[in-house]
Amino acid sequence: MLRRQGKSLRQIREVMGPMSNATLNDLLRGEPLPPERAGPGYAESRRRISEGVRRYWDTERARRETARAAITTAAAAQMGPLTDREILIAGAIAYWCEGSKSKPYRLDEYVRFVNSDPSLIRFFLKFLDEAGVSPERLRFRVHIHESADAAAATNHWASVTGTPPEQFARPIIKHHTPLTSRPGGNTDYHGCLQISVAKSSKLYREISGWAHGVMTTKRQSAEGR
Amino acid sequence: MRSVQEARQLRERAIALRRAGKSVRQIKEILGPIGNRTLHDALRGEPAPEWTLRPNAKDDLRAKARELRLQGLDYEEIVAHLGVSKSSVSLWVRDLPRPERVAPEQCARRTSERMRRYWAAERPVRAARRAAANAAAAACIGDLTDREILIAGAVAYWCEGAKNKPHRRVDRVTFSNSDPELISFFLLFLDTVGIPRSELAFQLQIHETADVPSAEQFWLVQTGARPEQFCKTSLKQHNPATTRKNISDDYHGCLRVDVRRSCELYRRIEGWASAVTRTAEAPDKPAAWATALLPGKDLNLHLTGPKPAVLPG
Repeated sequence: MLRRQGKSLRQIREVMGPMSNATLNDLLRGEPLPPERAGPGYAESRRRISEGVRRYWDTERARRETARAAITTAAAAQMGPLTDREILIAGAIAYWCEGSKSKPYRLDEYVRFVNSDPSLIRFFLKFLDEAGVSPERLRFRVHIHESADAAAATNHWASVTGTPPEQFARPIIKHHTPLTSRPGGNTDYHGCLQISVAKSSKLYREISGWAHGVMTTKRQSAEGR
Repeated sequence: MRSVQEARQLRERAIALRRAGKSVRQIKEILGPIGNRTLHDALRGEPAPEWTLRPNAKDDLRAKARELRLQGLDYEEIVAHLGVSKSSVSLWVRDLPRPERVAPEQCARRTSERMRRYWAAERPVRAARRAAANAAAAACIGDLTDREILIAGAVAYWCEGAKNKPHRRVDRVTFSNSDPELISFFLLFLDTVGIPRSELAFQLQIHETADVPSAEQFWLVQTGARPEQFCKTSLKQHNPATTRKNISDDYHGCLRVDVRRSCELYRRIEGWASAVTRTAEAPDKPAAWATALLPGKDLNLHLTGPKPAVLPG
């Protein structure tokens, strides 16, 4: 009866004297909550929550992006222009990470660099220039999935490298495996560009030597800081 | 032209002189002009007098070469045995009957044997040459300044580290590699930017068929980290149809290096890497903002970011 008057459990207990929640719940089973206590209902609360989250992120995302950009641009600004030596160091390390390497089971000293990042590709070209490689020694080739547009990708890389697309070797088409869950299915996908350098075993040895020199280096004592 | 009569007379006189112990040259002098051909024809079958058979420098080798040839060796093998030139062998043995043709299998075997011998000698020579070229290039790098370590580390991270992508909005420093040298360089980079080693967590990722405990030990020594900094090793399933070649004793799997609380460091690395790669875009003129923000040559780690606490400078 008290419940039907819109009383809460606590108020009921005040009237009926000390009594455990369990007992009270047993007694009240089946009695609906009074409408002013019933709340907005499950679907409505979900909607309100997601609305709140959306509003929060609308402002928060932009704020975080700015904070993020502030740090990256400050770091980038701090770098400034690179000296020739720094370009060699950075290029050798980039090659060691992304270039083809001679292995004990595949002795192959040939400079071949594959990457999908246009800025890294451009940097590597700059590095090759710095290392004294003339542009005629470069060969370009696009590696791309068969589901993508190879011709468009070739044009894209042609503009990145500043080489006419006719000078590119026939693209290497990768078979599309429908099982893969590659998230890169966006319009930014241009495949990978392979840069090969003709007659490059000497250069390969230099690059690998530089990379080893960098990787096994010691920090220069305080003077450089 | 001599008449038949004259020719016969000449021949008889030549034979007589030969039997009298004259050399070919002496016979020529006595008989007057006579062609070598005619004289040799006339003297065929007449043994040369003992005194004209003077010793040659390599008579013993020559005899041995003929002996070997009769045993069926080919020129190359005789050359290998005696250490004389192939043309000499040819001169010495060309009148002997050719040995039977060797079967193709044997021929192939010999070729491969020769290749093996060649490469057994040549391989170390080339390896030494490669190593020398490598060492020379490495030597011209020398010690790196902090700024250079920063550049190289940022580039290495940009190549091998986990990046923030449109489909993966995570700013966190995670670097995976199988090359111990690159890993230790990355650790040096982290030292340089001021990350204490205690902020690092490692995970070994390795094929289940490899020797996991020794790989764990290897990376423990390589990184100098405490064992509790290593998470549980992640085992990759073995694919029986695999053609992977990286299965020697040198295979230690991949090591993942995670930096705790590294959101800001990630952003900085991204900035540094983009600045490095962007140098290719403005080839010769230094970017205006760079000189404006940081005048002078000393561009080392004087960080001006909002939270410089983590980083030295």
